[in-house]
Amino acid sequence: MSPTQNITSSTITSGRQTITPTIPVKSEAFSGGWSGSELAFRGQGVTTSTLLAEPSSPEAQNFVILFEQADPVNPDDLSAIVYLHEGFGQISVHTATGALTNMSVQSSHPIMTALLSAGGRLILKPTPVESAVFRRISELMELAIEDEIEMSPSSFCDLWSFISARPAASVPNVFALDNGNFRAVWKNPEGERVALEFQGSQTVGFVIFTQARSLGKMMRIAGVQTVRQVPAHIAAADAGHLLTK
Amino acid sequence: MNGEPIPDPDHVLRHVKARFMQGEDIDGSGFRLRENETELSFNWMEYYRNRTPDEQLQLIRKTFPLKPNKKDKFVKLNVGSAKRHVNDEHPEKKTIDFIEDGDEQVPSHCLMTGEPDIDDLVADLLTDCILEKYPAIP
Repeated sequence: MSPTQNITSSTITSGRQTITPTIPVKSEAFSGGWSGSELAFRGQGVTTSTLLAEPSSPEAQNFVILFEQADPVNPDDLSAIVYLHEGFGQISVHTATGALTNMSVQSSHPIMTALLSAGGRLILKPTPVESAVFRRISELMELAIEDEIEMSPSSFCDLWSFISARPAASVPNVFALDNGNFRAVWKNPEGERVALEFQGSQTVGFVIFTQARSLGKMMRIAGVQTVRQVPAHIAAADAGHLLTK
Repeated sequence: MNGEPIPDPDHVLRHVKARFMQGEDIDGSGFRLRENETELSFNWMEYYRNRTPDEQLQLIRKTFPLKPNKKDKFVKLNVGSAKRHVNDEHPEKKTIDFIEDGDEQVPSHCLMTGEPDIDDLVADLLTDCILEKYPAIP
């Protein structure tokens, strides 16, 4: 077991509030899966900033995600994801994204159960899909700024929840829409696709193209559903294979 | 003449922002109505009928009214193929058409109309019809 190490975060986007955390993290926590670790802010280190801070609601609980980019070889890559429950008072900030983001989820969300049982903090090794989506979102945020588009924090949070719940999923292409929503698309060379526009507030606009092999015909459906219900639509359309490797 | 349909054998270009593409993949969001649009804007290549496709592209770039970013693209569709594909494959058999709408500044401008409307499925179906992609800025 290696001793505690310091991880500092870097800035992706500029925002309205700044903190300077240094985070001592026990390295065994990076072995994967849900796990807790020693973590404290010491008021030093690299600057992080806020952009996608989602407002809280009475039915929801808040936590903060710190996206760590501490890989010396690939500094743009995501090296760890730190989840902090706001209720535990470990950080006194409402700062967010790029490097730090606030997320608000229903109290029944599995992340909340895990966070509470781990004492309010979790450090996870990012899955390949999380790493790829994070990298892509960083690119999209820059393009959105160029186009003077404000991306939706709620859309980001729903996208992040969706892919985080599917660690074995294949990596989608992700796009930033004019309305500030993120759209994730899984396609194959046969023209089949699952396209999910995360519209915020747990709502998803979906477009699904799947080949009905028995009919030799492409079937197409579109609609709007809740984030919770949309996997059932994907399964019913026999399109689940597009989300798996 | 404005209001006339573009002939089926002709081609149109759509300006697609870099946010709507990843690698070689162009997303259907590049074919959605923008905030200030009621129909979808395209440029008609064969407006410059006696020019080569390269020259047509150059002339469209030269008169394009927006300021494209470095990574943006123009994507090319065949008018007849796009109309047939949407009508054949859309579950509600929606129809689209391409209508001349040029003016002095942008003589090649044309509009894609949709009946009864242009929805996300129409937009995604149009990505199946992309023939070529060109950098918006050479």
